[in-house]
Amino acid sequence: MRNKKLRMARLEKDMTQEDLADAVGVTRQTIGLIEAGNYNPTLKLCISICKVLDKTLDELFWGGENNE
Amino acid sequence: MNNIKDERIIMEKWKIESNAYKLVLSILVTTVLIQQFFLNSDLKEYAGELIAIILATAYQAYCHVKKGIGTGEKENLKEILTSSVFVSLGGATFLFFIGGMTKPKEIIINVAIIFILNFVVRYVIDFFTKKKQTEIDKLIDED
Repeated sequence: MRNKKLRMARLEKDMTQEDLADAVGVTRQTIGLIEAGNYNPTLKLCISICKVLDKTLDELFWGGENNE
Repeated sequence: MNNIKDERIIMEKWKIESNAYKLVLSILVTTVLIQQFFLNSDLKEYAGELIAIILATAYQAYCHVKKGIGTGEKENLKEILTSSVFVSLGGATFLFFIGGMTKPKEIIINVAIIFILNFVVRYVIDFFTKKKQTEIDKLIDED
């Protein structure tokens, strides 16, 4: 399931996948795979991403109409 | 936050290394069986492989016990006994058809050894695993 919410939140912050990856300490491919829905991140990484993007876990990772 | 290592890469590496370990262990077991039953080699010739297998499996069992995941939480004596019977019957079949062991006395002795070894090892692992699980339970209760 693609994570459109994450992608939108990242773009709102005007960040590239590389920027977000650097900020949370992972590779760009990992962020790409999370957005593409091909990798389930651990809660620790989810929280790190939320902190960087100023969002809550619900807003980014809980199912909804923006995830497909 | 930059000190977080990429969990995906770590997980993928663990999976690959775990598969490589299984592959190496399978190859070692196969070579030992071939040398023992098909080439009739002397124990000295495959002692190295045998020691490697024993050490690797002992380490694996030790780590499992240490983490409290050696056996299932609901495993009991009856299940250990049943599985030991099946393992020794499997061993007997293997010894008869592949090992070329035809004398009933030899087979009975070997089956008894397999049964006792399997039972004792599983019982000990189960005993210490349950002990560790109790310790973990106490930690959870204290919190």
